[in-house]
Amino acid sequence: MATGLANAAELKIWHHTYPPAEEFIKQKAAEYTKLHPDVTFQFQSDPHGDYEVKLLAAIAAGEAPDLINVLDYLYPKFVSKGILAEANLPAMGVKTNEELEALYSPGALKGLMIDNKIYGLPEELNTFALFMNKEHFAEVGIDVTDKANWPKSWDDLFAMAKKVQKKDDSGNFTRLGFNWVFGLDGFWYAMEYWPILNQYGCEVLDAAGKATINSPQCVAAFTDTWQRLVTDGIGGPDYATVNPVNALQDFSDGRQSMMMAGIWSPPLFGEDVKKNYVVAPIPQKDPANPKTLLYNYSMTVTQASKNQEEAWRFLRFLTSDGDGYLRHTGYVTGLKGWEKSEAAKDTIGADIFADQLQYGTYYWRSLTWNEEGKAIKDAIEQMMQGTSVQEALDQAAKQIDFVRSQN
Amino acid sequence: MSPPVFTGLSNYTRLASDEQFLRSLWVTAFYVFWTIIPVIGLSFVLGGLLSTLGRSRSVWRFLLYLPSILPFVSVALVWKLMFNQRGPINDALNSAGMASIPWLTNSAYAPWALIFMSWWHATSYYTIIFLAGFLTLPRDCFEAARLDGAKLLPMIRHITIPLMRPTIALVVVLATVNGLKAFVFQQVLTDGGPANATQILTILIYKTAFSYLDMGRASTYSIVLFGCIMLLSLIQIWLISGRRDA
Repeated sequence: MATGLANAAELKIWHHTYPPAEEFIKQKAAEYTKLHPDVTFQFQSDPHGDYEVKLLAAIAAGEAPDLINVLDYLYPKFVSKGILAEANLPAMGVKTNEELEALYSPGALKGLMIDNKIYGLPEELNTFALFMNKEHFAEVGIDVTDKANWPKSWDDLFAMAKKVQKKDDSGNFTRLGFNWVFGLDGFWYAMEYWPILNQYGCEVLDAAGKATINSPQCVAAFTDTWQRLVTDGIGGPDYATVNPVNALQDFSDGRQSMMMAGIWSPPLFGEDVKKNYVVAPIPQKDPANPKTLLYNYSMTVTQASKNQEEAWRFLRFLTSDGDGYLRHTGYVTGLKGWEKSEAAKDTIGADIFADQLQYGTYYWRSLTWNEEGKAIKDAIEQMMQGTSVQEALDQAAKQIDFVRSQN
Repeated sequence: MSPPVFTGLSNYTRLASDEQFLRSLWVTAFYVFWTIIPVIGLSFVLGGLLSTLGRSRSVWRFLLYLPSILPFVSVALVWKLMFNQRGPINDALNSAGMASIPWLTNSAYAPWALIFMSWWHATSYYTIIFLAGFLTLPRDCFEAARLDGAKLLPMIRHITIPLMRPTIALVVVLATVNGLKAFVFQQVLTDGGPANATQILTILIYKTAFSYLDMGRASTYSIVLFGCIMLLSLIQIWLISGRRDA
């Protein structure tokens, strides 16, 4: 079947480094080329963090790829800068936004919409859950395959972390019970603090756009969770292995017993850990009113692409294989009913993720999210070193207000 | 990208209240100062010692120059491993009965980790420049001084340093310029963190342009950096070379 293109098209795809996704996209691209021999592909990936920077540098230099992998929080900025193309609905075989939205779980496309226009498709509709190494807990007599033993609150989590952690004779950790992610970009920190901020009623910005990250609720949220990790001697930046390609290296290698992560993480686990993990909901401040994270690592088409129609057509082809995505990459594309698919049945914890997704909220929306996220990251790094939470967050609030005043 | 908008001098007038910029300026000055002063001293001494060697000089010259020809990113990655909490430097400290130091994750240590690393890297380059300078010095001046009974330190002060002034000027200017435009080590080892403790001006420019997409502000920072480099270079050249001629 030919596409009807007068000229052959080469679509350049840029993606953040995640080897399982890279392999899967290449496989789907090859399938597409078989169906449309005049369309070929070029693939490039870079570790998350570096990826966005290189992407923007390429776009600024007039070397924009056709298809890009973008996190939902960047949409307001990217759309305002004219980087993203509005979805070509006919190329994707639908007539209206509503028709496209009806194919997805409720809210799946909301993070990719600006002024009621759709600018991308979800490749990875995600939330975070708690991963626990059942062998580590079995060693200390806790059966985490039993739901009754899952940590319900943050207090439970830190108590369990203390029980399972191990130290050598000199007091150095040989196994961490739990740790936050450190040393990576602001988005990584946000994935872990965002649900907590929501649980504590902490808002990054108020309705007028002024920073409220230093409010009493936010101070309590960071004091009870992030800073507590250090003050209780459970973990901290000094003990985290920093690896931009696998941010979860310590858990993956069996050096850490619990972590918060997405459904995509198991393909990165070492062989021992792959056979030994349990997925549980993240702890809650108020279990009766759960709050979780919702984010969307999407695929979209650039405004600069000369083959936008073909790119959207391929994108629809790629992301409609939800089963293939979940099976090969661990990504949930968010297509309606994904949780009942065969791939979901074979995925440990898919039911937990499906449940957690319904309590999720997207990050705050801002044209200067990166700078605001960086200010909060800086505050976290300061509080990890003993600066008072209030002082660190006051500094972050000041920086956020300054940045917002520049735009 | 959206088309540029003319904003007059507003980007410059905001600099005085831009805490990130002011902090980066301070971090840059701290890094440059603590890098160039020891590096120039160490390179001068090593260059002088090398110039006194005979046959073995070329071997030592090769070994000393090695850090300069290694790719920056590879060097930075190796140092990142060295400074790791469970890395060889902390292993050595532990073996000596000392506690591990959070080299790259604590604001108090991270700037120093980068400075120590820069000493190792930059010294190799400037040593070779000083060696070239030492080898061009006229031997007869030193022989005459020695015959007159001059001691080592007065000879260095009254003969070596004045004769080496052009080379010293060159090294001071090069070291300052290279220090001001350093980027790779900070980017690879700490990415400007923790809590902006190593965010030198070049890292701030890079982030502002390509992460925050604010080309106007990034350009303003770049112009300031360019101005600093030019001004410092002119002052140094005037102080070390021009003033002497006057």
